[in-house]
Amino acid sequence: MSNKENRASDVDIDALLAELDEVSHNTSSLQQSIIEKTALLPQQARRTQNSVVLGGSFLRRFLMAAGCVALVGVGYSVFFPVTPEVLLGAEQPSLQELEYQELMMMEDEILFAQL
Amino acid sequence: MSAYDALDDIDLVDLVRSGNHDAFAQLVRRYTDQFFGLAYRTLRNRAEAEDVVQTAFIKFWERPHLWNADKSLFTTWFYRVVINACHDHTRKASRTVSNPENVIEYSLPSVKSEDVLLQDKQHTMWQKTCLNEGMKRLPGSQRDALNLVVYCALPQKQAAEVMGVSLKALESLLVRAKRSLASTVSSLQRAREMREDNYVKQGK
Repeated sequence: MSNKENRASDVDIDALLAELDEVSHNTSSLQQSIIEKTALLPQQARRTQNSVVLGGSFLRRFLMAAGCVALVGVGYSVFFPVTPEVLLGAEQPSLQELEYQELMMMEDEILFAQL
Repeated sequence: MSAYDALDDIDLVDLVRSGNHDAFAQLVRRYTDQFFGLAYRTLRNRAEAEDVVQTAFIKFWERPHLWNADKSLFTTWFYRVVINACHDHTRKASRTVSNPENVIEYSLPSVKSEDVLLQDKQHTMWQKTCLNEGMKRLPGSQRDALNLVVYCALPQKQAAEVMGVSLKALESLLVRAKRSLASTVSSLQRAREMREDNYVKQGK
């Protein structure tokens, strides 16, 4: 046994703890203070009710985030309208193609007139 | 005798949940002494202990549904709340930490005092000081275990539940706490004896 343990064994700590356990407090003023302070204090709504409806705070936050994303999308589409062609990836004909088509139509008309 | 005296904790908390303030007051009267005792033993400061207990009760009044009767006794849960509040308070408090040796030195009954006839009283005061100092030096978990079992007189099983540890772990904490406390008290007593010897030698 080490010196430290020897010294420790000299003291009967259980007896000491029991002997000195004489701290007593008058808490009546504290009790009164707590009761008075809470008398007019409203109770908070039970959080678990919302949790049951929405499946907890995580789902609630997820739905709120999804709603925000949807709102941003709608706002964007107002300022930058999206046509079905763009959505479907269809390319608009270039100016050269339009001119070529017009030329072909004119040639067709001349051809029909000659016939 | 109030009509609420006969009600147990579960019934009282049910009433508190429905906004019954008298039931809350009954719980306050029933348990403030116990919870204050634990807070005082943990913080070693009456005003701070009162603050902690008051805040805990106010929070309980605001959100009484936080206690789940299926999981633990009301007292077990509230002891846990008070201990956590004490630890939070200790962490937040920016106290000026004085040298423990100096605290002991100043709180000692002076050896040079003329009040020699009151040696027994001095000895008790000295033991109390040593014990308090030893408690202060204990790691938080050991101090909590000792406070709950020795001073709050909780059964070990409930104390283990309050601390969120197994019964074996609590027993181990208690053994280590007592060993450490005995060691501190013993070393302080030896230091005092040496000081008294030096005083006597100087007197000669």
